[in-house]
Amino acid sequence: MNTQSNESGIFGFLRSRRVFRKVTSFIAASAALAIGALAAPAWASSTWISCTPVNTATYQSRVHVKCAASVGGVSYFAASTSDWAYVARILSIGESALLGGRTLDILYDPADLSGASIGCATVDCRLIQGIAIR
Amino acid sequence: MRIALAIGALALLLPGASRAGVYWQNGVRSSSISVCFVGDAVTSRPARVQQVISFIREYEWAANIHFAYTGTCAASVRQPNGNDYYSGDVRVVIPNTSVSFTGMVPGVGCPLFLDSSGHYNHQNDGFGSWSNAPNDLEANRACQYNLKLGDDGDARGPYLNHTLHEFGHALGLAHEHSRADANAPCTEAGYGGSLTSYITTYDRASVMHYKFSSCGINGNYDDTGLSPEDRLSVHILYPESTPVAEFVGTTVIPWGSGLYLRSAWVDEGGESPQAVQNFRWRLNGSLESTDTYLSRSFFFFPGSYSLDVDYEDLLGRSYSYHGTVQVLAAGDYARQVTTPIAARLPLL
Repeated sequence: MNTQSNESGIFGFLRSRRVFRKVTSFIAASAALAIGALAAPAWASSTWISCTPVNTATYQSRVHVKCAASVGGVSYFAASTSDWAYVARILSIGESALLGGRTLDILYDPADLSGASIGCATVDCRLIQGIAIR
Repeated sequence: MRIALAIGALALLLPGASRAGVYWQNGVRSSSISVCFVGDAVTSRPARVQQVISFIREYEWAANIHFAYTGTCAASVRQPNGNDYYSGDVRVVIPNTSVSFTGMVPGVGCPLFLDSSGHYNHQNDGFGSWSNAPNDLEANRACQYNLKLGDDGDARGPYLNHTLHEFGHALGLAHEHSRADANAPCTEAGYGGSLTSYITTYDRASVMHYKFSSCGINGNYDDTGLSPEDRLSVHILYPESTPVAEFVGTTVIPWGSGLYLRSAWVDEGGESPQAVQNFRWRLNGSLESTDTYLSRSFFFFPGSYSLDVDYEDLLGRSYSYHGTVQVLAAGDYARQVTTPIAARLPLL
């Protein structure tokens, strides 16, 4: 049985990925400006993607979230375990999305290949700059 | 601006070269595309060549596109009929190299810019950039180059978007400002058109847009890079090696609440039915929706329901997803979802 969208009104508006992206981009840009000029280049090519998570995993040097679909071949999003608090927050959000069957939005810089040093392969993995549950 | 308009006017006139549009309806390439530079560009202008190669990586990050840079274009192989044959996919000419940037495109048998009598029509005498569409590749094998890229820029150097614009044409995209639904309050000459082969909603931030100063649109004369809609466009034109149906929504719900899943592409600005169509949302094998979304207000019983999502893109290529929808009784939902998530979410 099909019914009309129940996502109309302000909730539908706010849940729209395009609006979400604009809001989060503004927040990210504001954060970069607040941090200072050094932060600006790092955000220059960052982008949000939506992700249906299929698993999270932890290794000695990294954790990752794997998405059902890839973009430009990238379907793994990782973070270094060197920042344990950050990693814990990422895992919390990733696992919460899996438990709740929710979509994730992940901010990453496709040009940043530095994750290779922690086993995040350049061919299919990028570092997580931000993550949110839809 | 005059330069931009001149380029636009030229582009509109070019047969088989850059025209107005959205999806050009002139095909797509394979996911691996060779790129080379004609003449001595690689040695005489190495910095510009490397810059172009660096710029176009934005497309590789957005879609299943791999540019194979081969350096200087290979020499022609003369064919039995006397015509030249150039093997590179995208053969780029840039200014101030050993190959003239204007005039007839070199190559015996090259049909570009020839009138019906086979005479050069002088429409390549300017410095305006252009690119062939994907489907023009074989027809123009006799041409030494099939993408002409100027150094258009400002004090910071050549525009990023200008390079992305021409390579966007080479990938099958056309002019964003020539859409029938171009809706910026803009009265400049050249703004608007009749094209309806939409991939995404109208996007004034697209690199495929020309510059319209009075409208506040810089388009291809800027350094903003691919817009989100540009990225989605090439993501659709060049599917990933495993084409997964992408949707957003919640697939674990408490019994009594509704299920609402929707196409991620449409959510991000993809046009339906032009760019994505023939949706099939199935629960336990039963077709529930053929719309861009699945909305179900009530499930009679808690349980696990198989979810299958299928659709096709504008070129008829299929995408699919198989997973589950879990409908949990209130107590189970609290135990399996609410409580564990609540325990995880506090910041550490």
